[in-house]
Amino acid sequence: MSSSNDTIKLASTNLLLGRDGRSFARVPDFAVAAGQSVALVGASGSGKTTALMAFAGIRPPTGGAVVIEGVDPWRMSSHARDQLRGRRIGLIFQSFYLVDALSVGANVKLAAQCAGNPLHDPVRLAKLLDLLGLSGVRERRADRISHGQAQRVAVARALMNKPAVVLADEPTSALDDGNTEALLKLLIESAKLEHAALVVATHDRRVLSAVDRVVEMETLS
Amino acid sequence: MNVITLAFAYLRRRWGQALLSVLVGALGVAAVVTVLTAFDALPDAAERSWGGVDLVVGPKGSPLDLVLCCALHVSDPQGLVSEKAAMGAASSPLVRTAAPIALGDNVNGWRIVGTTPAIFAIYHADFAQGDVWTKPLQAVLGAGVARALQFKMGDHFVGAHGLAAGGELHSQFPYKVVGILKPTGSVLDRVVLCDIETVRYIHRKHAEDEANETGVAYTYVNLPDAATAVVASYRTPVAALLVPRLINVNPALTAASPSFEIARLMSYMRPLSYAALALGVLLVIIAAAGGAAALMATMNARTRDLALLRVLGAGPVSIALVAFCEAGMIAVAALIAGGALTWALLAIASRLLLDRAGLLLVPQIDPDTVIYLIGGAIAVAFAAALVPAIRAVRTSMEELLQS
Repeated sequence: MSSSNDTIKLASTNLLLGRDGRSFARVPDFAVAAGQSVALVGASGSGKTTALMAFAGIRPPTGGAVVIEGVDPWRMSSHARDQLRGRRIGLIFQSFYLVDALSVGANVKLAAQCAGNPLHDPVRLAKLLDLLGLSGVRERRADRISHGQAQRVAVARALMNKPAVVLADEPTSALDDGNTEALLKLLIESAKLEHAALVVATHDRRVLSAVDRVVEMETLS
Repeated sequence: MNVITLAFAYLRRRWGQALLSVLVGALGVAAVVTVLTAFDALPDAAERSWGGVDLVVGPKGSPLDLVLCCALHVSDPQGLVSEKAAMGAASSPLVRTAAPIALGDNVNGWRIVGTTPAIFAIYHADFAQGDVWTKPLQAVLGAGVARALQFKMGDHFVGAHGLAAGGELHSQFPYKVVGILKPTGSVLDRVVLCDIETVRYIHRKHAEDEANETGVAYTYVNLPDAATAVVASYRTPVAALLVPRLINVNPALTAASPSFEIARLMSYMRPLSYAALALGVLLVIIAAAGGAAALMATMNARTRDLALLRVLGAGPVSIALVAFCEAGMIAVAALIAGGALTWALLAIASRLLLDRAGLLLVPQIDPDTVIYLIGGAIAVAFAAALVPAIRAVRTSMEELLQS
């Protein structure tokens, strides 16, 4: 493998999405390297979230290929795919999905614990919390922090395992302009700092100017 | 993934729901263990209650009544016998010790029993304080009576006529406490003992007074050695086959064996024991179903969180383990709380039985019961966690992302 290929973290080739063998959307071919960002755009129901699930090894595509750091998750066993998702992919949900029962620190650590990642160490956790301004609320329970703090916890959890790819699903849909700008800055800078590729699924046009590339979903008739 | 930490954090987060599950489980455990233990311990408590009495000889009548009156002290006398005749009938080489008893008075509802010092040998009773009477109107208190009436050595009290509280007081005959017995677990704990001649004298005077008023002569006047019965202990178990049969030939006397009569009584009550057993089984089913339902509700509330763990890379086994661990923690907590509740219930029941019926309940929890309970609790926890675990493992990564 060449050194330029080594920096490609996620590549999508002729990826078709659908259900029961019938495709309803296509993702134009694209590749994203470490530190780069891509916005996957399209109207509601165009298959953006389904595309993220195909990248994350959660829902299989109806055709085409996904390659993450040189391997296709859909050619792996279910167990290996779970491990790949846990260790090399960071996921950020629209509603964050923090575990209310756990503290901020425990929520971030959970990503490493679930993945059985050897990178799980206190120094890494402290560094990440510090980077995202969460050190002061580390022991606070997740349901007792502000919305902005919860956003940052979700980002920290996604970055905990030093992922190759960060996938964010509609992260700005409920935010005003100021918060949208702040979150995008946080995501893009964090991804760059951690040498991860960032893919943001969104229908929010405000995102487009912030990312390196825009990929528009194609709806199949 | 640290399954135990996560499961514990979930429990803490929804502590109200978890507490409800623990409470339902604990009530079920306590109900079952209490019923089973109490039913096991009751026959022993009854046997302990009649102490070393193997034989009761009284007037002709129902042997069961005789046992209930003179061995367990829970019913009224059916008549009187001559002490000489009853002691004579009970005097056999197969009988170790015999003592006459005379009933008829009480102090605050506690029976006063006129007897001879031989009774202490029959009940294997020892003195905590003082000694046996040497004069008329001296009394020895059972341990329960001394505790309940707060009587001390040297205290004086007056008996009342009849076996229930509220009778006419024999004010001119005050007793003095000269001895207090150690607890025996038998009926001796809840009676006041004195010389049989004291009881006879008081009743003879009482009967004479009434005879003077009514012109009718009562038994105590006509029968100088009147006794309610004679209680005796055997030298050998073989005596149980021979002695009562020989005595029962006498047209004026009845011989009764407490163990035989109580066994007969229990056989009449067998349908009741089946009902209690059925109730116990029903309680087990209710507790298991209630525990499982509460656990399922708790676990269902975790489905989203468990699905999140799958998205974060946790394998199906880890997810199932979180569900089972959480259910297991609730089951263990329910067992511990149920055990504590059982202990408290049995302690209260023991105290009530001792105070009200003189039965010393010594509950011993059968190790088999403990094993069945632990096994049952694990099975219920497993069953309750199974469905949410399967749901969390199978589903919802897509749902989580699309919700």
